[in-house]
Amino acid sequence: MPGFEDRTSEAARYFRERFGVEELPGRVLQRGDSWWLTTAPEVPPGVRVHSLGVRLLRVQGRGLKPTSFGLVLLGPRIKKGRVELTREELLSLLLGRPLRREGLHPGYVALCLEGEVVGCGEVRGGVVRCHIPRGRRQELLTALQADS
Amino acid sequence: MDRYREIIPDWEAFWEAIHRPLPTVIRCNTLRVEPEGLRERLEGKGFRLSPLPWDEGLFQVEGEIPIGNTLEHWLGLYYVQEASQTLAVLALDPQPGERVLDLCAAPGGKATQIAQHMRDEGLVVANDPSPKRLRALLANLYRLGVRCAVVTECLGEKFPGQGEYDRVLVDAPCSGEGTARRHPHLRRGAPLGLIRRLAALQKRLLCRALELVRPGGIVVYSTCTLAPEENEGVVRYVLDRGLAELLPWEPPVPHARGLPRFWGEEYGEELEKAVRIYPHHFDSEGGFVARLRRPH
Repeated sequence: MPGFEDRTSEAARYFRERFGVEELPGRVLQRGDSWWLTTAPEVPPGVRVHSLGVRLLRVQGRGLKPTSFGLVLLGPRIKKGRVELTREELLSLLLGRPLRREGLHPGYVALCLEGEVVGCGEVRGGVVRCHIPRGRRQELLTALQADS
Repeated sequence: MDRYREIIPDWEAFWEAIHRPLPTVIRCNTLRVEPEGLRERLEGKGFRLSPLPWDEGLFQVEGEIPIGNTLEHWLGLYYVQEASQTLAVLALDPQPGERVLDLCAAPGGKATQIAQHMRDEGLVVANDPSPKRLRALLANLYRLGVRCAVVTECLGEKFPGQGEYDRVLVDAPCSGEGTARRHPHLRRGAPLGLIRRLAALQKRLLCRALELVRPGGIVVYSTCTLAPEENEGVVRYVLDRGLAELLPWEPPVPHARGLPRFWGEEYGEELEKAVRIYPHHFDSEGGFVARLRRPH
């Protein structure tokens, strides 16, 4: 696809090793610092393309960071790197408070509520932090507070 | 709106309907969850869901908290979409594997509905010229997890290409008179100057769409306005130039037919193949849908 580079095999390896995902549901294409998961066979020529499927990964420094939308999309396919949270723990993370959890491998994780992936987190030094983007984080906070 | 007294069947019921609050309707995102599963989850949270009779994925919803403030909405399990707004995609009838263009796609209600009909297989080009509106479009496509969509930024009337799409939706910018239940100032009707300016843009958009679709391909033209100048007048314009043939379409809801004439303009009996939706017919907003085919 013109302007995009196929990164399917690297992305598949990343998600297999980090998250236990056996198969990605589409191709992964890179443009700039974004890697997109898509089933679209092509892009229309001669027009400004803003996005392609769902942004799955971002290049950060020398590494890759999964997006929250991408992790939610992969949802049940994610077999490892999951951090199961209670509602109170998730609320606390969304408010910016780090959560201490022992025994987790450092790196990016899938934050889960009642078995459902809700976004990206990071474990470092036994502490979990929330990486859900600010706007989405506020919306989730509102939804959880309205629910309870 | 007085100028529509003669064309709207049961004017009193119409006038009463546009003063009532609009029911909340959601469309289940079948790429993520089955309608029954969604219903169970939301009813478990105290919402009352009534399926709409023509589509098992549409529910009228009542509840104590706003339906946009739930974990299920945040996860993309449904889209809040007014009932009449779901009809244009039924007329378009997109199929898995096809190439479909939504020329004026933001905020994404119809683009995500198209992707659902295609089971996320094929190509949905979701275009909009406004960077601000594109943000909402992207957020909705990501939230619902649509993988087959490509989002583009281009003036619809200048969208590049020639005969490349199987189907094109032109859900045109319009004066919005059909949304008077949400926007009470529109009960007076839209200014005629605005209607004429929009009609000129709508003609350009529809002409372009008919160049972008392949010969024999389908273009659906829809608006949420009642103004014949923006509806039947626009369709007449492309018919007169031999750019399209108008196909009959029967929506699965009560409706009225397109108008053959209005205010001295002759649109022709053929325009009765198009569909007008009025708020009192099934407790919705109002609008217009025409199904067209590019000649071979």
